[in-house]
Amino acid sequence: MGCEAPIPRPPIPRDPGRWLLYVVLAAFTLFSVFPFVFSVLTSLKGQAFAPGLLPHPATLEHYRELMTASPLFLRWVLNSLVVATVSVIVLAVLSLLGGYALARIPFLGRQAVFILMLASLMIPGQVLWIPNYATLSELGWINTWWALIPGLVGSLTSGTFLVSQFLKGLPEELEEAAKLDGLSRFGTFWRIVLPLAGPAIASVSITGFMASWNMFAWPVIVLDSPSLFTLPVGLNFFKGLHVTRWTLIMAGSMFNTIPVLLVFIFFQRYFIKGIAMAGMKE
Amino acid sequence: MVRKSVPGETLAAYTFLAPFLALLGIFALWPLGQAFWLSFHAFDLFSPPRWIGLANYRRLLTQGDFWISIKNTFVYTGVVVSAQTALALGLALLMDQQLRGKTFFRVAFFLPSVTSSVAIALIFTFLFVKTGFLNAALAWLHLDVVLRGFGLQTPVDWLGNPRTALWAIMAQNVWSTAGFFMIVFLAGLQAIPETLFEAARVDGASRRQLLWHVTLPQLRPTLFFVVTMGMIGCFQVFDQVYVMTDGGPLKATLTTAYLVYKEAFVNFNMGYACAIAFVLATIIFACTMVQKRLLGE
Repeated sequence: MGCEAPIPRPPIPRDPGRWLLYVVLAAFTLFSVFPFVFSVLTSLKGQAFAPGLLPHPATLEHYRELMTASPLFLRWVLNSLVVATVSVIVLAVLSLLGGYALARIPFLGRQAVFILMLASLMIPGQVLWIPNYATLSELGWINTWWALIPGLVGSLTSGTFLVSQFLKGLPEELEEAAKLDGLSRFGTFWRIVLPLAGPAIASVSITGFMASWNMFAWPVIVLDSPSLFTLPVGLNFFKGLHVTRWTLIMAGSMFNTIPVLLVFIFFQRYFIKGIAMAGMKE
Repeated sequence: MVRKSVPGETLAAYTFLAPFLALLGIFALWPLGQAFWLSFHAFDLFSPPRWIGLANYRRLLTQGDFWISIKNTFVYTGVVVSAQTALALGLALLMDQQLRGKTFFRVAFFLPSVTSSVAIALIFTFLFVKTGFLNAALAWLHLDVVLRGFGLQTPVDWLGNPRTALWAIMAQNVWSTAGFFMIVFLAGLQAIPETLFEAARVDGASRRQLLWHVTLPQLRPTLFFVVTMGMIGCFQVFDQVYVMTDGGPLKATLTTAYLVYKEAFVNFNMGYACAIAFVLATIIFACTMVQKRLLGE
């Protein structure tokens, strides 16, 4: 590899109608990106309804106010970071273990497990809200972060499915050789499968991060104390406190939006691959 | 590839799967049964459930709020799914060729779908306020005349007017999901074997014929996926309603998922809320099956 001449890309045709295509694409790009740009610009304005799109002069005063005047705000950012980090680690580990078993071990009831897990993805969340709430209150977990667990079971299920689909696509020879060499199941998993599962781990971690970072309906139901809120719940609460302070609200929403956009832009390759891996095959 | 299961292997497999299966069982499968059971009970969380037979279902059929929510949910789903599917498919067909800056467009179109629903809802609430950007832009384009033609008072209080509130949330939803589904369509388009097009071209097919007789039929599984996923998402719309309108004004944005939340966690009619949730689940399931008949293989 590396010695062959690069394959020349086919030339892009110079069809006179093509500018229209770019106009349409540019228009849709503007449509997609404008609300983000607008909210950034607003967060930098002195007054939310100051005339003109551009802030002038631009000010960071609202960001400063978020940091200093609302002690809970940084708390919510931190809460979300902690919840997301723990969720990603747990989701990745459990999806890998389960996905490996489903992809590689011929066991009694495998078909049944597969059907159950795919069927469970079809259960609308609203049906589970009430019994899960009742279970959690019996456990005394309402208004603790433990209560967030049911909100991520769907991500665990799709993660497990994604890993198993990914592993099914890998050749099995290495694992068989390892088995002949006397490596145990767990040894095979740890030393042979794990090093090859990078792209699947990346996809599960990224989608898991987004699910946990953006999760709203379930946390809003089970968390009552503002000091425990994750950022989306906090932001909504914040909106209630500062009804018309739009500059402040827009500045606050940046803390929710920017991390997830950065993760997406840096890892978009895995993100899109994850959709292709889990989607539509079999 | 059917291989015999080995007892030792079965034990190993369930060890690997134990945490996942436990969580799935406790928080998804068992509660499904529990919710069904609760839907025949009066339950307020504080006292034990009391059997009342079909009373919850009877009540739901006669309660105005339920029917309002069903109507809103169907309008919402119908409009959003059609609009986002058409937009996504159109753009994907356009983008399925040699293009400069493809990655850039892809990232730009994808951004809305990875952003938190709450952040988006807040941004759009601000765009939609009476003195906000949307009204200013419409006035600048002289489109406010058209709005007045529809009998709306300009500037429009988009989320505060019962005639426009649901439409405003729908617009926001189309905005946030169309790009994602475009990427899905694009993946589907690129999976169509080139040989099919070549064969059709050899037979003298025009561009339009290629689209109708090769591209679209080949895209059917993707279309099924997009319509079904879109539908499932729309039928459960909750976050945006919660943040933007609280189901108002005058119940104009009261969706069924939001009604479940309100009955369960505001009014503590948990058995009743379970019955509503079950009806919603049944509707979603039935619509998915109809889709499968219409678009599936």
